[in-house]
Amino acid sequence: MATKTEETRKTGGRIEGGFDAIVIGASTDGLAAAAMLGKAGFKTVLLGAGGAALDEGRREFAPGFFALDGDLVMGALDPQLVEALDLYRHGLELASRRLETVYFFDDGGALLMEGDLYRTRESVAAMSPRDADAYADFVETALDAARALRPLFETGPAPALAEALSSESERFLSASSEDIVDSLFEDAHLRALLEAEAALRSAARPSEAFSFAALLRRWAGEAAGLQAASAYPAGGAPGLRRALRRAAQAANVDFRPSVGVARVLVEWDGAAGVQTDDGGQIRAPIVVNALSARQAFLDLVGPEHINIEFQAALAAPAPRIASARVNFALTGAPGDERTRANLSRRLFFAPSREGLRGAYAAARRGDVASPLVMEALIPSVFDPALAPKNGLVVSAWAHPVPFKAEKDDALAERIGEAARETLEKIAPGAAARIAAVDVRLPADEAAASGAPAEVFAARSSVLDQWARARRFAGASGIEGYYFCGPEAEIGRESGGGAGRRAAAAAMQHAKMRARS
Amino acid sequence: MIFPADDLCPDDPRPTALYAAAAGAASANSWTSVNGWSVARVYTSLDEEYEAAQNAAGVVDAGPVVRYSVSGAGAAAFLARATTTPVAGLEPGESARGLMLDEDGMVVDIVETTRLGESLYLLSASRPHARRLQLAARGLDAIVDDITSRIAALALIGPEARDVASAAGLDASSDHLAAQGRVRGVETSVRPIHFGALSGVEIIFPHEEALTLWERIRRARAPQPVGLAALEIFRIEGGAPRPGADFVPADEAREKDERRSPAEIGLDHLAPTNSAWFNGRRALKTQARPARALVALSIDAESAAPGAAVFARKGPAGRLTSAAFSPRLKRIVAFADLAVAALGGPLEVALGGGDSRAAARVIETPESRLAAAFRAGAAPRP
Repeated sequence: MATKTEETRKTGGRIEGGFDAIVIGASTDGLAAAAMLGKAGFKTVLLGAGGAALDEGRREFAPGFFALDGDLVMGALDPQLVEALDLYRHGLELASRRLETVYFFDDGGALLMEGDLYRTRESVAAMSPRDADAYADFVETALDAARALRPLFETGPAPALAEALSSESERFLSASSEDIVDSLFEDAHLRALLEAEAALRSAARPSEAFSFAALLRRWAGEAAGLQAASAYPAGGAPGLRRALRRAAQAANVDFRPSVGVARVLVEWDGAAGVQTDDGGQIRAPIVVNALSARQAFLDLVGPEHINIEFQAALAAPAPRIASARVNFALTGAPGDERTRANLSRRLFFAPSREGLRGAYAAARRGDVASPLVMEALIPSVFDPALAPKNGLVVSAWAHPVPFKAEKDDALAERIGEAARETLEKIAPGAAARIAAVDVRLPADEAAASGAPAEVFAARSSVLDQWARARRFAGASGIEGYYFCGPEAEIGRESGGGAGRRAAAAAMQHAKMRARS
Repeated sequence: MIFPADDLCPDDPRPTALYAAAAGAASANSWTSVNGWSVARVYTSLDEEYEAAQNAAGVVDAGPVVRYSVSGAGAAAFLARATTTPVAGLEPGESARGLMLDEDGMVVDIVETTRLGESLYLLSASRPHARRLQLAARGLDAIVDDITSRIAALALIGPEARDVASAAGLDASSDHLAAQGRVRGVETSVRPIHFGALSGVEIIFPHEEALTLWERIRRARAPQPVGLAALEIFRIEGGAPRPGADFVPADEAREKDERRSPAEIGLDHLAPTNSAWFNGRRALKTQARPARALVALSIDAESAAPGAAVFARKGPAGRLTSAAFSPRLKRIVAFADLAVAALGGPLEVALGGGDSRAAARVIETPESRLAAAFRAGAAPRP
């Protein structure tokens, strides 16, 4: 649907005014910020530099098989955003509101967990009667702690936390995953499960301090009104972006996907608009940037306008750990009843503690271990158009793998092999039916989106992410400049919260300006 | 001209380029260390040195001042970012003072920038800033090079300083432009300076030629070598605060409230927020009104030590940060870090042990006059 506002319009060396806000980057957060601003009555233009490629939706990786890029499951979609934009009215649909998870273990064991964490006691009792009560208590405390820590995960100030932190939630925040599970549970499966959940897409090893906080971050999120649940939106992550796009269109946001930004104009310590690639200018007192921090500050604003200390904070140590997105094309229908029942569930492989430690050690030295932590979903069950008849698309995150900024086919091949072996643990016999394996590494994502590959590496510790997110939110003091790029979000998913917060801060700023 | 504070714990100080000459002249044999360099505190006698520089000319070993050469197409942009110096307005040969601020607009150092050529600058600082400058140069086409140990630097101060320089064959004709020249084959850069209330010239030349030039100046007019102790008196009389003594540089502060803003050390005229952007300007613009003020005092006493308590009518108001006896004023001149609320009323300074106190009053200095003029101009018209 090409509306009038989506026409390709170039500024062609002209100076264009009349806008209240400019949003750069059509990522989830960029769309969220634009829609929020538009809805609040700000005349907003969304420039599609970067992120546009991610919006294409599905990608054919083998004849007849399509992959959906972006997050697999939704567990941290910002509830305030959904409500403010009325996203369900704009086409957000949940294909599965509450995904059940089946955990698979190294020794061949498996455990089915309810989608509602509060109701998982029975599942655990079946496996380890002695841990069932401890687990139920733990879940309740952890969910409370996660809720109390929400301000932190939304990059709130540290002092506001002091009262929220009971001694227990403080321990959950600072301790390592290994310490937490060792102190609570006897069952090796339960330990492996929690360690692997906390480790997925995190660069912090389970023995590192603050590593457990990654799981708390996830459990602080909500899906379909239930804390710590996982949902699957119709159309996957692109489905969410489509709903945001429609909400933005309804709010009269001017879309210009083909206009690239050469520079953010900073005049008298405040953002004044942008200079476009073709030499024109679009002027507005508010600029929201949803690109990566390096692009937003170093490339577009430039060192001559940002503080030295702020620039130093932009340089993070080179990442070493990444997660690989692996898509399998499977042919033939699964044989047994049990596997068929699992098709619409979240499938999770949790290696043993030794296996997980070994995998991190291997990834840090540039090697790929097997098996890996794997979170898999079968999107073609929810959307049959993604695979041919009698075929399946299995999409998975495999973690941890080494981070490489450049494309490396040999590495991708090794990861594909390890992922195939891990999939075999989840669905014995599946490996024989694999027609194609598609491995997406940070370098591929970077090439598709134009953002630096580091952005797609595994996330560092929650504390580190919080410190950086807070710093970048300050935008080095440039008035009217707001940042909601990937570094503004804490945790592994992008749920639009950063975009909403940036828009809220911009509106607040506009209000103050109007008053003075 | 700036001159750094001496180190609290000198650890095997290095000899400056002029050390051999200075050691020959230093019959008092009283030494200290500044930025790790050996510097004479007193050469012959404090009174003699003060007298000579006040009425004739004195020569100072300026080796401990940290020097960076900044070159490249982005040199001006780099300096405009890292310091508050108005670099854009500098003609070749001109110098300007400025501050180095951190991102919160707090003072890191007091610096001077001299434009030596089209895109070549000399940055003089009172302490080393290798890391800060290296970070500031990222993304800009500027090469920053610490040349402190590769050059010799001396300063001639006093009313006859320029005559001494001319007598030695140096080009000190301009009162605001630096001049490059050769004296007996030695490449020199001569620039006019102000030290406190005194004017003078600073001469920078290659390290290897240090003694040649010193000797040449000595033979021309034999100016009195002036040590750190006499310089300290001129500095306080001139109203120039010293990082590390009168305020804690923001880079070294252990607590946030130890740091001082430009207004709090009386140098807000060096960081005007209405011209070009510099590091920390945005924070400076939104800073609250200063609660502290660094002021110059004259104290009716013969001795007072840094750290002594200053009392206002209502009670303690602050402390002395540096103090020296001024032979000209026949009183102690001192810097004091005071609560703004205490200014305007009578002040007393605690002396030694016991309860004895001496009356003190805030004095005007060349620097405080500049600041006052700036504030009068910057204040919104009624």
